[in-house]
Amino acid sequence: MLSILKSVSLGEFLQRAGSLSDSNIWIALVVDLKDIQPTVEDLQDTIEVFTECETGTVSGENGAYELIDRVADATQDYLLLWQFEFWQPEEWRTFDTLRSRLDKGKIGGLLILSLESAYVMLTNAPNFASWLGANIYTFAKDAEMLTQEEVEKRLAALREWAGKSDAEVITLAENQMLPTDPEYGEWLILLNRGELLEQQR
Amino acid sequence: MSSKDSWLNICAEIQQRYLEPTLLEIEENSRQFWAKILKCLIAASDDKLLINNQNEIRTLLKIAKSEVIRKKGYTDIVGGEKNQKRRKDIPHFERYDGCWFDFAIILDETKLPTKIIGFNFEIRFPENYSPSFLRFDLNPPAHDNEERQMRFHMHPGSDDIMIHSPPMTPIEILHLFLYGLELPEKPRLTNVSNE
Repeated sequence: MLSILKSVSLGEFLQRAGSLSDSNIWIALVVDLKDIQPTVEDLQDTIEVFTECETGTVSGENGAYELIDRVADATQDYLLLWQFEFWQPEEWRTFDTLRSRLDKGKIGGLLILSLESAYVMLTNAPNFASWLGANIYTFAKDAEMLTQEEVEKRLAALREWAGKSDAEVITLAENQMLPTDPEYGEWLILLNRGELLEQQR
Repeated sequence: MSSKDSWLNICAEIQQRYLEPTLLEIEENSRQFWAKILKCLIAASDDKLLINNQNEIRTLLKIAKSEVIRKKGYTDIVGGEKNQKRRKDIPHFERYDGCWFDFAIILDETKLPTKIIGFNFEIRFPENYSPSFLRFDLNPPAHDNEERQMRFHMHPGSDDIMIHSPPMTPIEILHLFLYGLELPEKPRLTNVSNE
């Protein structure tokens, strides 16, 4: 089942979260284990800006009872639940039994799960899985970042515009002789040499 | 003092007056700032002011980073592909009335708060409209004194003419491009020929 999940980027997710704010809709997002913490940070940062709702995080590290209590007591408009990686099947069964306490009227949220914890959830919390319905996605990490191909395309346009090579631009920057047009600043960032901007001041 | 020196002093005063440090400091980190811009563009698409759909907007609005430690470094937020030759076949944002634009914003997150250190925003008007474009440039900080006097400027339809820009933030310029600069149905006839 997990292999057929739809993938969403950060931008797509923000739009979904924006349209679902003020509702008791829960979404599950499946993220690579190593990316969970930065994803939680990025989501918390951006959901608040995009939805203009106060957003809180609730950790599952102390088990289902404490997580559900903290969700019930939370005052924020949107909640990110995470740290389910140590939950055994029994914890998810408890969570499933207590799921009605997630019904907070106009407050919904997001569960951030690794692939493994998503599988354990779907197997052991069938009623909550049914509540999620189609709202379970895999996360297309970094879809908002320029791809290497896009970076190359922009660099090619800058080289043609200035009649200079990347090496010439770096040498100019190292010698504090870089022209001040903003295009040169962008050029250094695309070359991952943003620190040279500091030397131009 | 020569007239030219007086003008350069005036330029420096104008630039200092307009470039209050607070104008270029923002509360958001780069990804939050990207989300703020995305929200503006999506809203304009929902309102049918932009003809780009939401998928296109997400494809056009991207981030590039140059950082050693996560969230500590320099970021480029780009809206639309690089288009130095003003070719309309290169992907861009387009308004319902045929005006089209792109932009790039450079952020410095090496120290808090995040600082906007450079950008260019350029809107192009439909064919045969005068001026043909309007560009706002904030040049990154430089040693050169003369450069500093015209760091934040705009080009009203010519790459060779630049005047000080009013103290507008990138979000304000984006709103100007989306909701301002309306094309009049009947342009004023100020350039009536003597014939």
